[in-house]
Amino acid sequence: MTTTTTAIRVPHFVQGRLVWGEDVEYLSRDFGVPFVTPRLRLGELVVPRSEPGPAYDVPVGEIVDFLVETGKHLALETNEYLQESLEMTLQVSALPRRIIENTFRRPGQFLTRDAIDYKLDRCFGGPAVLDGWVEHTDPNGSTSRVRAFPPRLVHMLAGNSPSSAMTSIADAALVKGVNVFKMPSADPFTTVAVLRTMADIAPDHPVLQSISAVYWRGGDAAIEGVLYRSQFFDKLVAWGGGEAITNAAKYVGPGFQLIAFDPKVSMAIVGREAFASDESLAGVAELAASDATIFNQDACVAPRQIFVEGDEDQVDRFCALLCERLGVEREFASAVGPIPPGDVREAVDGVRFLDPDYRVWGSYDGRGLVVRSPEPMDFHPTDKTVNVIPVASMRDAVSFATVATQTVGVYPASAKDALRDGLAAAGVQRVVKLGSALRSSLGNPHDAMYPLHRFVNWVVDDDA
Amino acid sequence: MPTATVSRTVLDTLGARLRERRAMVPVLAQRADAEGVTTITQPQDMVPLLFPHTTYKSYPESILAKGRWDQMNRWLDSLSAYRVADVDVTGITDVDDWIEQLEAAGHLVSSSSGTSGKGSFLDKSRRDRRASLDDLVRCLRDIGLARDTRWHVIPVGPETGVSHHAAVRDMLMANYGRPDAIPVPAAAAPATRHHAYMSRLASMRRAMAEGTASPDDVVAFEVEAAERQRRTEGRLDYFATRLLAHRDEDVFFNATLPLLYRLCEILRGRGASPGDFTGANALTTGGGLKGIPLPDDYLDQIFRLLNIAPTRFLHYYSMQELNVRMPKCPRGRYHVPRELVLFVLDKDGESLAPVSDDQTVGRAAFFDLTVDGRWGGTISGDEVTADFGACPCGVEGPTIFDHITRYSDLPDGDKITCAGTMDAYVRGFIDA
Repeated sequence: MTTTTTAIRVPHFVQGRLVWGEDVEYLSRDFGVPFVTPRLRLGELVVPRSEPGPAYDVPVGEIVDFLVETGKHLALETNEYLQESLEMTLQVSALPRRIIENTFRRPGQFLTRDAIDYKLDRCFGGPAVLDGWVEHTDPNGSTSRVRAFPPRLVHMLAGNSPSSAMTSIADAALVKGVNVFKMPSADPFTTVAVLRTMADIAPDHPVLQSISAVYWRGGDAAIEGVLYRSQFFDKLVAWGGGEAITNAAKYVGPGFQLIAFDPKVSMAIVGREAFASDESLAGVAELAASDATIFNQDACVAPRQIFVEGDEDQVDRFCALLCERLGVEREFASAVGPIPPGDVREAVDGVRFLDPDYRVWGSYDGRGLVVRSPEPMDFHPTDKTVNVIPVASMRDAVSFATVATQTVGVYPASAKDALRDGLAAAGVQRVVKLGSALRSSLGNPHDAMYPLHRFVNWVVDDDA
Repeated sequence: MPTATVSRTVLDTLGARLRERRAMVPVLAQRADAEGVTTITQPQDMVPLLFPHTTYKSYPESILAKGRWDQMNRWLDSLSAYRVADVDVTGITDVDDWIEQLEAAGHLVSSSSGTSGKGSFLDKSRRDRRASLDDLVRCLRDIGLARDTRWHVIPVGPETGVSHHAAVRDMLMANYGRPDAIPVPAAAAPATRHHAYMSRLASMRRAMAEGTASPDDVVAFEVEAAERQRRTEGRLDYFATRLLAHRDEDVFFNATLPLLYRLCEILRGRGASPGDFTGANALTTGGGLKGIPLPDDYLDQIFRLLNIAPTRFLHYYSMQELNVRMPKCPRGRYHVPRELVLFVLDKDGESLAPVSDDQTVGRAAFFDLTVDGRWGGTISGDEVTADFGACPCGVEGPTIFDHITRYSDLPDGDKITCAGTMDAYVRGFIDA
């Protein structure tokens, strides 16, 4: 295949080796930027079940050491792979340089020994069950031994950020399995950049020999039809949604399971306490805006609907302040972001003549748009568009949460207690303080599961 | 890169139309103000004023679901040239009532909806209806099917109760139907309340997404869908019996292609094979395949079994936003008639697509000079390849090549995102 002179060269990482090549040309997700990769050799991505994976018997403690060391080397100022990856990402990303730089600055900052040990404690009660067979005796006196056995995983990455690439690599390393990362066209660079950083630290580390990071076009049956078999892999770890994942999920069957981090939407609920004073209202609008603008709202945690307990005048004051705060530059948001897509503009224009039941603040200039409506609008608010719905009571907002709702930001935080059961029953997986959508405590479940717990194969050696 | 040119005369006509219509259509006035467009001096000036086809479904679904007909009037009014807001809404219980009430007031609202989507509503005047029917007669005449009352006219599809469907059927029967034609089956049930059904389908989907639909609701809906399906099959059976009894007489089919294909399957099931029908049969069809998968050679199968010669097939490209049709010529291209101004835009519908060697690929958009009840500028959902040069068939004017794709059918490729929409959570829905 001929390649254009502008195509970005994307290396693969195959079981510890860096592989360059200009055999196949692809286009990136958002702007169709061409990039070239080496030809895939499928046999190199699989470790036969007759052989143990390279990292099966490496103590978790050593893996933690390696990860912590890696974290120290993941600083944009000093890491040339990250710098290179940043430049390439800029060419294919919809986000501006400043925000991308912020995501690249310290993608390994969560890789501290305390953090990883705490995570393993919460998920596995400590490293023992990963390192070997842990014995139990049941009430009848029968003994058995259980191990969280290393799995064979295909990870379909979403390419949200360098730190999500790092998280996936760390998770894969901790469970010691054989891993293939199918890199996303939105960012086919960063996973390999992290792996190269690791290879510089410990070139022949068994963890690296257990990992491949490659690109193919999602949905390519010639590849997925061959690879996605229970004989080669146990589980497909799918981050996000879209046609590529729907396609891959078709191969799921007995022996080849799906661990899905489903595509999600988020919302927020604001109580009448927000209207206690002008200052508090301004503060709440700022918190709401800071959540709604995360990655210019291209993140699942960013709320799209905000339910506000108040009368129409109060809610309108909130809307006006919110709209103003949407236009503020932030660490992970642009003052002027991408302009809302046509379907948002159509739907918003459609209600402009329905005053006073509907009202619109802002315009289609990428600074922010707020639509107040009696119930949620039927479009998907995106690109800093927030749909505000007045409710008589915070509890009324619970009925608008669905199985697609991931995070619910609540103000005041004290109202979470009264709302969380109802929200959880509706399908919600995470309830946070308004303004904290992007922050999280360590070691918590994600998408209603402890992912590492599901990655491993729980195997028992029973004396009963 | 050069873009398509439009003659000075046509630009002047468009400019005059803009001056006239911006005083009549509120959304047009708003858009023209927002874009600062007051005159049309070049084709690009028109682009921001062309309404995406989705504009006609831009109402909030909840006001339809909750029967806020006054609000639906205000919404429709904002897209209409003639005032709707004052149409009386007392006593309206469903969307069919609403449409009937609007029709009584001269607003012949055209509505369409997919099996899973929101319906669109387009305000059309009596003049629009006339223009559409006249155009159909003209297109038929142009392919050699002049008015002649010698046919069995077979309206294959079910009675929808949609007045435009009825108007087309009545026109065909009046102009082409023989006095002793195969009668249309007496409606076993009154014409189904088509719009209400489609609207309930949309709200059902919404209810399923929101989790408010119970399993019993879903079952009841599936039962109703099966019953509708059964009625349609019964109608096809009725026609199959009579076609087999009149196999050497001329038949003029008016059908969507998936239904006609199904009719062929039924005929084959009764032992019919190519050559059995010897009448010089004809076909006119509206609408595409509606996402229904048919074999690659479905058209050939239909033609061979029903003895429809390609020259007796009015094959055209159009859409409900347009009154007029683009008939297909013997060289396989759709011809854009003089009443239409073709614009080919980029994928996003924001600027004119570049033209090279008179040809261009992009999103089809049109200004229909015959549109009366609304603003005539529309951006379609279709990707087309157009030729602004000469067609080998010799007829002048721009042409569109045969291969037309809906952008929504194009794969969105390798996109993976953590931010989802509710749509992903609603499993396979009932077909209409």
